[in-house]
Amino acid sequence: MNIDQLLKSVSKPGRYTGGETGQTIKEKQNIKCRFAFCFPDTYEIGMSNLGIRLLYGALNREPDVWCERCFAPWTDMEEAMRKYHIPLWALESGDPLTAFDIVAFSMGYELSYSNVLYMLELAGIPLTTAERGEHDPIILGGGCCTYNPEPLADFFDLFSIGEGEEALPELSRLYIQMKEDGSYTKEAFLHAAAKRGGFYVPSFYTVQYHEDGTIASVTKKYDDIPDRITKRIIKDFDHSYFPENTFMPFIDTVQDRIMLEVYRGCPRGCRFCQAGMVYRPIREKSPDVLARQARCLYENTGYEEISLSSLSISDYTRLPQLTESLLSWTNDARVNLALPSLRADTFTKELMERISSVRTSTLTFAPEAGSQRLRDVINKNVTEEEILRACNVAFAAGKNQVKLYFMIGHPTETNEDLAGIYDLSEHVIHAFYVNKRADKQMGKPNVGGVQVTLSVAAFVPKPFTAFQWEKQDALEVTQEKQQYLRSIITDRKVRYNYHDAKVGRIEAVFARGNRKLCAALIEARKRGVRFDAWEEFFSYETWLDIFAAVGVDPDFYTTRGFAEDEILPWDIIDCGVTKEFLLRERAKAYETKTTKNCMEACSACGADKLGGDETWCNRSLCKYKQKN
Amino acid sequence: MVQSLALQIQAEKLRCTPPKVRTKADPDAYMDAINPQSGTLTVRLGFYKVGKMQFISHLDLQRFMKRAFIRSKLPIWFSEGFNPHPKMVFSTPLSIGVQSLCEYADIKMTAPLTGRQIMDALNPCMPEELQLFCAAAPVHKMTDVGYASYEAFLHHPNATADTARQMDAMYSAPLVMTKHTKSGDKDVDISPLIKTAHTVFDEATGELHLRAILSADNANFLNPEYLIRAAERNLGLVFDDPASAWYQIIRTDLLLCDGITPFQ
Ligand code: SF4
Repeated sequence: MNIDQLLKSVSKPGRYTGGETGQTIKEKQNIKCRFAFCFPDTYEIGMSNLGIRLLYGALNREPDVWCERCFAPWTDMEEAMRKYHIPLWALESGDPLTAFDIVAFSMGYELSYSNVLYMLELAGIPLTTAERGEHDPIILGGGCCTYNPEPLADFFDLFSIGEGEEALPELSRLYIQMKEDGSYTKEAFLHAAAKRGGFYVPSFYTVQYHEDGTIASVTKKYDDIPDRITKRIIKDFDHSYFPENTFMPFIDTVQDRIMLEVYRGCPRGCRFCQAGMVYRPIREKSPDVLARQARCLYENTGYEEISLSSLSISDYTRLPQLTESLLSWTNDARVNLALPSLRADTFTKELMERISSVRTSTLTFAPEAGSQRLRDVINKNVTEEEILRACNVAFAAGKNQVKLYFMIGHPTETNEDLAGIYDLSEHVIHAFYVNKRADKQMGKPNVGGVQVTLSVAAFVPKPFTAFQWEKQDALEVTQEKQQYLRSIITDRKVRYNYHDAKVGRIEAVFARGNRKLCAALIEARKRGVRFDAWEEFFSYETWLDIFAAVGVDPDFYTTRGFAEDEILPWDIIDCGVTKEFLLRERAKAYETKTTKNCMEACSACGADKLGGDETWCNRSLCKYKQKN
Repeated sequence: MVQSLALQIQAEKLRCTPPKVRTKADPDAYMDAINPQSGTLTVRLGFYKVGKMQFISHLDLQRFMKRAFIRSKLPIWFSEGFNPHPKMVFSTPLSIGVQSLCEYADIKMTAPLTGRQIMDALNPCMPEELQLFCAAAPVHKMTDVGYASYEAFLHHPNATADTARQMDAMYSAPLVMTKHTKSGDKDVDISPLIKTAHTVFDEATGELHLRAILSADNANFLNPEYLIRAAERNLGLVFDDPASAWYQIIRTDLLLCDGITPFQ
């Protein structure tokens, strides 16, 4: 078989070659646990994922573990692989996935589930745990989607719940130890992992349902495994593993730059946001550590951009120290500093000046709702004045493009709230022209016209949010709202983009799904469904057919309001934040009451029980605050 | 010299003739021809790009080399302005899927260095299949390139010694191929662009081994893939099956307009 000839026949062959600088190659004979880290999307998307870089490095620190990468082959490659009977392989060794001990999938988006089955099938690995035998690889799942692992329960031997930098190396050590002392059977291994906590073995739990389809009870196979699986977190973020060298793609990828994770979690508490809850508690890295890691990564990669990544970067308490120490060398090294997740309320002139080297003329903010009332409902504690002030800062600095992110379909939303989206963009445009007049008087150069881009997503109720019980708007309602917004936008300086409501509906089915969806995923594989996250492949009608064929009613997961006393599919997982807290937040939403963020006051969400240094929960950061 | 040894090894692996020996510049002599106006000096890098690296496009290679230079800490020169970048000028285009033992790129440096210093700093920053075999002051202008030599190995179950003879005849007679250009498809007789092309059939491996020297100057660049396409069309041997019918092309040298003198 001449693989080069095969590669000549597919698009972007650089996706499949491996051999990138920074990849890890080991001698097979020294390896006791071979780990394939799979990402159920294309190479370009997967290689942009910070999690893969972290876990790849953390696993490869173990001398007898070899972690390799594998991405979903594009459809032209799929065709070639089927034609020539080439099973899916890992990039580093070129060995088929069946040669691995553990095959792990990282899932960050519900619409990538169909690709997990697509990859398993291409690898020739039986899809379900029931069909797999003692000698098939162990299939492990992780990533932020797996805070509700239930729609995938039939396919995965186990899930790693929470942060994996410590958990996954431990799991491979356990595997090696049990293989060496002869106690290994798949069942014994899974049992041992489940007992440790942080690992969910779905086959050890049986779910009974009521007649109406809701969950009646869950029973355990072993007494010594936990009732609920508590997520793992890294407690000491400063000293946690961080890859100071990393693989670098040859071909262009989505995030081809240094991603510096400044802190984990988010102090804000938006009521629709899953990431804001499941990554709690907040853990910061100190500026010294970050500065050292950034410098190291730069020297090892030669990247021309450092992106400070966090859910809301301006909430990092020591941002001035960090940017100062980075800027002390980045400008000379011609390295660009990017702060992608700025909040309008903390966006200041000082911050703007610090990052004045940014090349883009676009500034992005996420008000998420059009009216103050609705912003209070969703607890997005940002006001119109703050947004306009932030825009003014940007306009004064010569920027002329603003991108505003919104979400429609929030609980209690009315047409007035929708109209507020357009009003806000008109106010931004007005602010621009006021600025421009002032500039003209001061003789500053003309920056041209202004452009406001509205990017409007549709609300998807997500597990572990205050809105996890809410109804999703029916498809027609969402489409009507999208059209209403379209009809009132008359200013051509406003560009209006909105997401396909059908995608949001399928996303919602899987986000709040239970084990009954496993049958739908198997049926989807039979019908060749893959790359759902790609517009050109997503077919709503196919999904409706699939649901009908396996007797799943999508309304059950979307437009149905979940009862507050209902056992939720994801109740089996404990992510720190308690149901009581989420219920309190839900009640406050309906009273249009906001909740303070962790920096102002602790609202006892429950995540503090997980521990962690440098968190707001134990207020240890106050000493830095005083210094400022 | 260690690096030319590496080139030798790559050529042996690919079973083809290595590039012709150049008049050797002393690798330990300082290239100190700094332009007093710009404060820079131009260094010509000779490198090979084989194996997996054949699938890396020109743009990707440029980006990769830039980052490799930064990792190497060599004193490269950056353009001024909003988006500073090192200036790299590559010789003849090389399509994806063609390997090469003989590529050249010019880069500007801000301090005098020896060829060996540059190679010792840069090569560890690049994969095994993309390595410099020399770094020296340019002898010719980039536009002096006139021809490129290629070797190709073609596997086909129906290939025979007769096929080789047919190929020789085909490449020396007028040969009209549809060329894809920016201004649309054009029918061109490519035979004037083929300086030499000779194929032998290797009984032992069942392969056709083609050696060709093709026009490579800016205005008349002939992509070696056309030779394969012509064989597919005229002789009915299609090379599109990784299991049984495949080919590989290697650029083995760059020559001046006389078709003999090696470019350097
Ligand atoms: S326990 Fe308090 S401070 Fe800690 S994350 Fe929860 S709300 Fe914030």
